[in-house]
Amino acid sequence: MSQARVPEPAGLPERLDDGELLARIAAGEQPALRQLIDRHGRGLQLLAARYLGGADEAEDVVQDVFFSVWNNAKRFDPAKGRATTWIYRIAVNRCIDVKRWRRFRLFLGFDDTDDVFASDDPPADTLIGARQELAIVRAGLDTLPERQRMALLLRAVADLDVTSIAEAMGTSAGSVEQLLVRARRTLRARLAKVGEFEPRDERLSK
Amino acid sequence: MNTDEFENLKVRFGPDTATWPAPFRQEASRFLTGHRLAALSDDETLDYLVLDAAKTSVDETVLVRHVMTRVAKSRRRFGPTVGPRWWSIPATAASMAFVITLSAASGYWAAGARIDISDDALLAFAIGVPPSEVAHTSIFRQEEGSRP
Repeated sequence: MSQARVPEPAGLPERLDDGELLARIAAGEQPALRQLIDRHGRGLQLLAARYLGGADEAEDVVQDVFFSVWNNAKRFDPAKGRATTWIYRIAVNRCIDVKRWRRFRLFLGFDDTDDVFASDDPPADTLIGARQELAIVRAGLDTLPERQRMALLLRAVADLDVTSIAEAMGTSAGSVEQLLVRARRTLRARLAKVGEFEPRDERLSK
Repeated sequence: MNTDEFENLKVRFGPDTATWPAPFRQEASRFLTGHRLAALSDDETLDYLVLDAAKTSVDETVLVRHVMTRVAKSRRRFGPTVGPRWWSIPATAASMAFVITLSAASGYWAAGARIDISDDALLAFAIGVPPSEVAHTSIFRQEEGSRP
């Protein structure tokens, strides 16, 4: 697992924040890119894998993101927003491109289905083998509308606030709040349907 | 997350968990608060479930290697990068439109000099005689190089 791994020396003597790393990447320092991948590789890959529904495509997307960061780091303007948000915005755009390309292939008849997510219901083996509520949330995520899924993943996986999510998705903060409310309501309804998820107060009272 | 994993991440990202990148930051926060549900809102509880549902095995070492290989390849290459991976839909559509327009223009240009032949042939066909018989009565001007 990635948490247990002790990383190789990144080649930079000090720990830098994302903005400083981008400045060094813009100057052509490869160790800074390595450190940035070490910091955000996992978060980006979890986001892309859950959004696209496939780990293989997710790794390609994350590679594209960091390659794009390497080529365009000079364009990052710290006055316009946080470095983390800028990186996640690239990832969001790349994920949307992959989805569009998938739809285009479907239109041409090269693919059988747009979504790799098979059905609305969690597979039986996941219900037996893993925690049931996680399987339900996973299946619920897969069936959410794309924008709701992306907003919720940016909140839960990337830990971005509403303003940053809006910036990453290229929309307004109000719109993001709506997306989050609807996504959470849908997931809660799915969990409540099988009695696995209760509001906090009810859990604590037991 | 267990204690060993937490200590490894401290070595990796520093002692201040607030500066750790996502999703390590949320996982450390949950580890440090000891999974106390009372400290979390309903939305936060659900967000943690979503994070757990999104978890999958990720090897950053492999990712670093692949990205650095691409960076090295791009440095060795001269000129613009062209390959199937970089063909975007708009670029492909524009290229196809250009080829179709070029083909149509070439065809029109190549066939344009012989339009009068077709008109004579059509006239002959309409009155039911061989084209050679209408050639001398043609209302269409004979141009040099065209066939009767």
